[in-house]
Amino acid sequence: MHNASMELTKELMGASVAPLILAILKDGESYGYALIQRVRALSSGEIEWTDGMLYPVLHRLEEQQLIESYWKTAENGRKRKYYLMKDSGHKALAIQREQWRLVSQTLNQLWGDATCST
Amino acid sequence: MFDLEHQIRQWRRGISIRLPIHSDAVAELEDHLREAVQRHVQNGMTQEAAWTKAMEELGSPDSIMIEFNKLPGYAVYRWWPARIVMGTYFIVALLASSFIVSRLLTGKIDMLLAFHVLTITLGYAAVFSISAIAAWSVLSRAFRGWSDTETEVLSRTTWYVTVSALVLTILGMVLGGFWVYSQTGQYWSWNPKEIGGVTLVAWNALVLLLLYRRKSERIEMVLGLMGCALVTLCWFGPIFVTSGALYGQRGSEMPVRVAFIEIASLLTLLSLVMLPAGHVRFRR
Repeated sequence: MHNASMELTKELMGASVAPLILAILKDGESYGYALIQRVRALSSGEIEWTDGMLYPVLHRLEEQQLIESYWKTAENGRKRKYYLMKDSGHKALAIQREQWRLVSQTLNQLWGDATCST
Repeated sequence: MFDLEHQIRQWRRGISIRLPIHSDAVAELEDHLREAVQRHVQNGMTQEAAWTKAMEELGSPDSIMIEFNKLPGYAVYRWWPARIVMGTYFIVALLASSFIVSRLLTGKIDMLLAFHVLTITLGYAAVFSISAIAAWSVLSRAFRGWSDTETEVLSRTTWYVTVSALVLTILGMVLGGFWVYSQTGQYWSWNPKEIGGVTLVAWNALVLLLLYRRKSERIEMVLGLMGCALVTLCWFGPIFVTSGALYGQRGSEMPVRVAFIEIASLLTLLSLVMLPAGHVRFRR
């Protein structure tokens, strides 16, 4: 992770939301707030989503049949919507992973920055 | 004194108006807000400060609405039960059209009657299509479970097909009225077929009203199943009454048997609707 404090551009943030969500859900079901906290922790707070923006993306991924959702009662007694990956989501994630790897490799070659290698 | 529940109620009112077809998203966002407030309070904030910070993190209701409005509609055509049923519907429509056109070309019926029969047939068959989708949904929900996406897509499918059924039935009744006028000099005579048509128009309108007011997979399924019983009664009932098949003439057992099977099937399906999703499992 980079030391310099930076703010991702809106475009890069938008492009990375779906692969980040899919990559987290690959490890098991989760819900909105937990997804945001996980990304925040993984990026040491560098990636800061506006929380409300996550939910339309989750709904879009669900509409695209990449993930599915269900409601269940959480430990605190509140009803909570959980998301989990579908088979098509795994395939989509594999494709996205290859695409991001390609972009990253190309940039690494151009910049000669070994620290950015994936 | 700061009242968290009052603040949440006010926020909920504001966001509900902005997201009228995303009631599940409103509940989801509320859960998010509550958890965020809880975490901030655990980290030492006052409840009021925690609420303010959670609201900042969540974003304004207007910005959330803008993002939700970018979502494409739930694609009905991607839902395979809808594909199968609507595919069957179009095949039936094609066959019915061919049959009616052949009778028209051979001079057995006139143009007005042909269009009346075709629109009424398609309108009534559309209600059967909704019933078929509802029956599949009931079985799928009982045996496999059910997701919010399926509620959404079932609701949209039911909505679109019911609108088609309503428009076709009204059109068919108007055409029928003109045809009857050309034959008898009056538009309407309250015969069983006409009463059946009016009943189905009222039913379709009621279904649309209920779907508009509340989205629930159980309501959608029950409406679909009830539609099957009603269209059977309104479509075939008058035929049996006028043909005398229910009064002991030859062949009268068949409609009684069919009615019995249909009622038994509907009662079974309706009882499955009452069960929680995924409740029925085959045990090994």
